[in-house]
Amino acid sequence: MSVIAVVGSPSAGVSSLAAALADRLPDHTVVEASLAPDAVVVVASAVAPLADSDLDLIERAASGTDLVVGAVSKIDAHRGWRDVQAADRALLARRDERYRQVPWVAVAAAPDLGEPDVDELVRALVACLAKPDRLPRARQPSRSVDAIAVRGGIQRARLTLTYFVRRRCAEIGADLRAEAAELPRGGVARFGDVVRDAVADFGAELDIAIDTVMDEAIGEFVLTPRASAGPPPQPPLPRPSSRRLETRLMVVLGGGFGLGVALTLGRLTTALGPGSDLIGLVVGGAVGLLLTIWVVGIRGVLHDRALMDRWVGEVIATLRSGGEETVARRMLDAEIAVTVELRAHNSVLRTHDRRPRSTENHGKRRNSASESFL
Amino acid sequence: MVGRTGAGRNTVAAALRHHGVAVTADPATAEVQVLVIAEALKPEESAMTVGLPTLIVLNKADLTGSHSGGALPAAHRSAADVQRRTGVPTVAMVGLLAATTGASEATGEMTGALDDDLVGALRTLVSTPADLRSVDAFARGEHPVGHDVRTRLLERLDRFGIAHAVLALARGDEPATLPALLQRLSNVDAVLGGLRACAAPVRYRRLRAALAEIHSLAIELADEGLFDLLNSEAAVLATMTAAVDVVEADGIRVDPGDHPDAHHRRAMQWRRYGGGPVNALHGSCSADITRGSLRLLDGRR
Repeated sequence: MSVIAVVGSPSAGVSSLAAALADRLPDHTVVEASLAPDAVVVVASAVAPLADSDLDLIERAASGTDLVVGAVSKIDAHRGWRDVQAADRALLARRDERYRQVPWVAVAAAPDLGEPDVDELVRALVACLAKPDRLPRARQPSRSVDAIAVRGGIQRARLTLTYFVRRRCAEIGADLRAEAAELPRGGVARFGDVVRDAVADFGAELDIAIDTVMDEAIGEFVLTPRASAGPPPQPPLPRPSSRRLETRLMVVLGGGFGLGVALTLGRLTTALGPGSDLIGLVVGGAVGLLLTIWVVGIRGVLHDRALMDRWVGEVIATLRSGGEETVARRMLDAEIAVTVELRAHNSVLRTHDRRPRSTENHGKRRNSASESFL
Repeated sequence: MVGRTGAGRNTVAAALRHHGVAVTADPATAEVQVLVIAEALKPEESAMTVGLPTLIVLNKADLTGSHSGGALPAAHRSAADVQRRTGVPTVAMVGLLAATTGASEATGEMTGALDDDLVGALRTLVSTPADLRSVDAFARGEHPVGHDVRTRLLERLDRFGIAHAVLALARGDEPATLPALLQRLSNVDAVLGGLRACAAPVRYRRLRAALAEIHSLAIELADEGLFDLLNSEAAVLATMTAAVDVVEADGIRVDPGDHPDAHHRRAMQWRRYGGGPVNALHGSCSADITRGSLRLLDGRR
């Protein structure tokens, strides 16, 4: 099975010809665009000779293959198709030496009346594809399918990993928040360590996850993505907060509360009997002082908890964007590696021998839209 | 007249020349540009639409394929599509059918009638249909009409023209009516209309320049006759007509009514229009329309 790409300028009849060819060549995959096709059918409308923009398009499409067949389309309608064909042949040959040998045929893939006429093209294609020296020896059937599969795998890995980053960040955030809500007095320093540990753990976890997923996606091919480990996400430090004013306020409020309790207790103890004046004063004063200290302390702990909660939110946001950035960078590295590999080895992806490749049964015709989605 | 090789630039040029349009390939002397394209607009062609006022002619409208409701409707649709994408007025045309037929300017008669051989061949085709599936099948298949005559027919009318001519003859039309039919099919009238709209600003500017020249001459020579000419009804109304063409080419309707109310209303409307945020050309046009309307109003009283 070979991949045949049909290319040409808009309204030259590319879609009709691809459909007609797919009907006539059920053993081959006919696509309208491909990364690394085995053969490229260049469609030129018989309405007029090729324009420069058409030639650019053809050169781009034909750069990945050494088997190019030119087809002048719509010959049922245009009287002068023979002149146009000769002109196209000359124009393409003038572009590059290697197009000198391109065979040119004439087709009418979607005539107004009668049957499609693509016999000549089918004969030319079958003859060219059968030539042994044209094709690379090994793995030729699925090489462009491989490239598509690898790119698809990378995109899938990107989705999986992005989802992983979001889910883990949400989980870590929930855990840390729960811990911050229970923060004991003076536990701020320890909590800071807990958060930093969680961040470091997440970084390691993400690295492992990326390695696993990428191995599944492209592990069977000999690809060495440049491991560009960016700086690990640095969590922001908790914001310093000035509590002097608040402490003063709390001392005043707590002091007032304590004073009130002290006076009430003193008055109550005085009523116990003679001589209890002094005791009342001492007990009331002591209880009032203790209450004051307790209220001020509680307020401090609550303040720390609120502060830590906010900080956890910031850390998680940083962690998430940093994680997504890492994923994006690693995917980019992998894509670069695929492209470099394709270019270096004549559009073939080499595989490791350790795993057999499952031969997937791809649809006979894929349109370019779904390919570009991949 | 510009366009890439093979799009039919020369055919369309011949057709326009037949219909009394002065055609040149030299962009320096041209005042309006006709860009001939075929099938689809290429990037290098859309780069040509800047500069002069341009009309795009989508030539070979008969060859766009008849899969979606006939070749001409399909061609009109793709012309509308090109116009939408480029913002340049675009008309579909069958240049081949217009190139050889045309109304003679002197007599108004149709010229370019088919010669007897071709008419005879068409009559034979009515009774013995030929293989019209493709141009090669038509030219090479077995048929009572000789090969060279069939080739000539193809060169003259192509399959589209042949099919329509044969149908017309089968309906019982006279061969003399064929050129008119072919001209109608070629859509050349729409092209000429588009060209007229495109050239309206050019005509208007030329007229204004001529009037300015006469004005300065009149002052220089202190010639009463020239002043009278400038203020004559003919000059004012001619300027108004040119101005109306300009604004109508830009899609603004001008009330064509011919009674005092209409003149009054038009004068008011265009006076207001001229005071609005419009460019210099439209400002000048609206002044001329107002002036002409007032003159007409005056004449009716």
